[in-house]
Amino acid sequence: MIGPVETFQVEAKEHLAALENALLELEDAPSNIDYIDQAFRSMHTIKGAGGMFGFADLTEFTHHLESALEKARNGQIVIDVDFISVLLDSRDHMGALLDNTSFTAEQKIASEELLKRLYAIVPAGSLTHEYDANSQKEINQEKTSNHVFRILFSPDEDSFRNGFDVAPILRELASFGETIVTTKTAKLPSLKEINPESCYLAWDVCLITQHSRNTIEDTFMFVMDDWEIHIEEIDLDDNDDNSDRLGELLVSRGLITTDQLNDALNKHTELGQILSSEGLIDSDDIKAALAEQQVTRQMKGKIVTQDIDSNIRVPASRLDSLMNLVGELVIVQARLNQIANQHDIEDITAISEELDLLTTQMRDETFNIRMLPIGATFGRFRRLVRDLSKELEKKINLVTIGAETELDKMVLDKLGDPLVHLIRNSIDHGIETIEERINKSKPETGTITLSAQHADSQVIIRIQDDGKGLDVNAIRNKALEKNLITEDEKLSDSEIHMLIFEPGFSTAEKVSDISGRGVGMDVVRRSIQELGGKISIDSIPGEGTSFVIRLPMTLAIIEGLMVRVGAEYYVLPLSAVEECIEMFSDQQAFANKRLVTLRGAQIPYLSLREYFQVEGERPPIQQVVITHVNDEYFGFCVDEVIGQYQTVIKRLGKLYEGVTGFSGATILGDGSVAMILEPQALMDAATVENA
Amino acid sequence: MSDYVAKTDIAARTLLAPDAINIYNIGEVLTLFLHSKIEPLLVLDLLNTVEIDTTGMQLLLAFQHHCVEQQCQLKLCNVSESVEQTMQLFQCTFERLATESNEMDYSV
Repeated sequence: MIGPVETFQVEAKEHLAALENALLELEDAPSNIDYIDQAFRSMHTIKGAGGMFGFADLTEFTHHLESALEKARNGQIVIDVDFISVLLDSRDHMGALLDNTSFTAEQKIASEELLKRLYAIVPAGSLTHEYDANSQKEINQEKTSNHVFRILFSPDEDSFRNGFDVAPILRELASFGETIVTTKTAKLPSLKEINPESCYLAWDVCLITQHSRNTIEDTFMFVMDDWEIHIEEIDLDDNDDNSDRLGELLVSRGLITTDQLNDALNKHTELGQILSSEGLIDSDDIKAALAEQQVTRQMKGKIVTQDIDSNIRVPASRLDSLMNLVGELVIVQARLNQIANQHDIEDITAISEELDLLTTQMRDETFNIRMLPIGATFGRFRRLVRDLSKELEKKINLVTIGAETELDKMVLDKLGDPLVHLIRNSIDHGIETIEERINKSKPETGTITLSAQHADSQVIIRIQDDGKGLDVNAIRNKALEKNLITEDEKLSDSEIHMLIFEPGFSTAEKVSDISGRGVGMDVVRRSIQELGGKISIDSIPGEGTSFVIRLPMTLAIIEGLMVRVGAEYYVLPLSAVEECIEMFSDQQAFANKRLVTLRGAQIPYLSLREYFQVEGERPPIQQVVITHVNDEYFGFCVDEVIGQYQTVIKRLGKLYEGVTGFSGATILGDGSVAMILEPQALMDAATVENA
Repeated sequence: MSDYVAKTDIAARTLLAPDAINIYNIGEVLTLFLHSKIEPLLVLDLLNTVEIDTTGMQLLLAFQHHCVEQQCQLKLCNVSESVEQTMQLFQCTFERLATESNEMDYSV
């Protein structure tokens, strides 16, 4: 389980991503106040929470940026490329500061240099004096009418030990408006028993503010899961006269019963005094209720309870564990189904069918929990495009389409690096310089389009540029030079394009920091394949290049083709399967050549029976499953093709980590194991064996 | 655990010493003394307490409760501006000693 500080670090990184996005948007639309507000909110949250967790240097550094942004908001400084650049660099620096609660020597120097750059744009003197509650209030204000909130919160007992401090929260609430704070001490033990590291207090805050409930909830963002927090908005439009009476308030808070209220009222003394002296209620509770009564009387309203819309942050490993358990459940369900069918008992069949439905729903829901929109990954590339285009003195616009398209978290995590490389390539080699584009009568600004869309159970990601396109002759010459092809080899343009994915291939005349080392594209293809996907290229000279990546939506489930060899069952990934052909006994006579003829073409194949040394007689007619991997066709000879099979992948244990040719296993309805084959690895193994 | 908590912890425990008439000067953080025989009064001298966080605030409130139970007065002295602001933030009030000085005379 991750601790509160780690949670803060994770969430702060999300805010930094949002901040980067807002700054990039702001660069394109400097007059749009919404982007300043977005950037401000992200900074403000990091600063507030950072202070709470002891990241004092981060807090102070962020404060300077926040103040500069405020100047920009007020129109006192011009939002230009230099200003955005220093804020973006500062944002990166904030990311580095998240690793430690205080500056390292290098970070101190970096901070000073960044502030120096900032001061060059915004005079230092004008930045430092304005951090007080009133300025914060003004900046954050959402211009709406006043609301009254009652905020109850009880930190858990370990809060102080975990480094939480309540003061920054009260300070933040005070920055939103007027507060009446009651510290509830009912659980405070005697001095003899007190452990100063344990938290025994709770708070009841009445807040009059122009802010929305969401803003208040954001204050508690980092403690939402651990503290008891209750936020109520008092309805100021309700004219019920009883609503602001102390007795009604105490009953509505569940602190006393109606009977106790009536008994006390009959005594004709001050209600709070009676209840307190009779030990029915703590004096702090009376004080808090009186504070609210005072405010509501002023504001003429009453309390309306609202539910908190909360999210739960769960470590990805727990989702993996859940997925694994669901996988087990699916398998047990399949076995139950099989037994129910075998014994034909009506009651068991009915239960099995019902369970089948529930298991399927549960599996789908569990998959959905793991799905994340690709937009967050796309967001990373805006900065990449901005910085690289400036470095190369090119003008490039990044267009993203389908950011809401969802992919399994594990796929998304592994997709980032290949995409970075493809985009770097497009910027470095694809998009021309401004002069070149003008000479070609193209717009000065090049465009890179990053799009994602669902197609069946796959996600198609396209990286498209309107640059110069791939130079077929240059690729061919380089391939000849590297002995990747021979002079007499006749290749289509599309086959030549795919040569750029060969290891060590690069047509760049000079190696740059950005790309052109000739190792990236090979790694890109391998990474995509490891994700069970494919990459292809579509390029038109002078018009641009498109890289098309097809990925499975999840790695936890596989759409496979089940085959049988003797008594063994195997699953081939359906994404690699092109077609199945029959191989008759007369063709098997040439089996030692390990080639099968398909529409005139000779295709190598691997006999799974031989490779896995499966015992038993070959059937008179065998099947060859033709797969297409890395632009190569390869067959797998099996006894029988059973059919399409969707299953949850069970990873092989650590004991089998070194075994190649399998990506996992699945358990069939009868309890037997079917191995999931990895065509590329088997092809490589077969090629080595043949050699 | 911060030094602050460690020291206030000592402060809390020292208060429980049976010889309560004595003056306790706790490290550089908190000095407290109890005039229990002459006048039931507990003075918390915050001379060396530059600032307090919520743990410190909780401890002050614990002293306040203790004094209510023991029917003795609680007064603070040498409250720094920062401590004052924290008290205002929590909207907690404590009585102050009329004269405050850097050279407190603890003699009875």
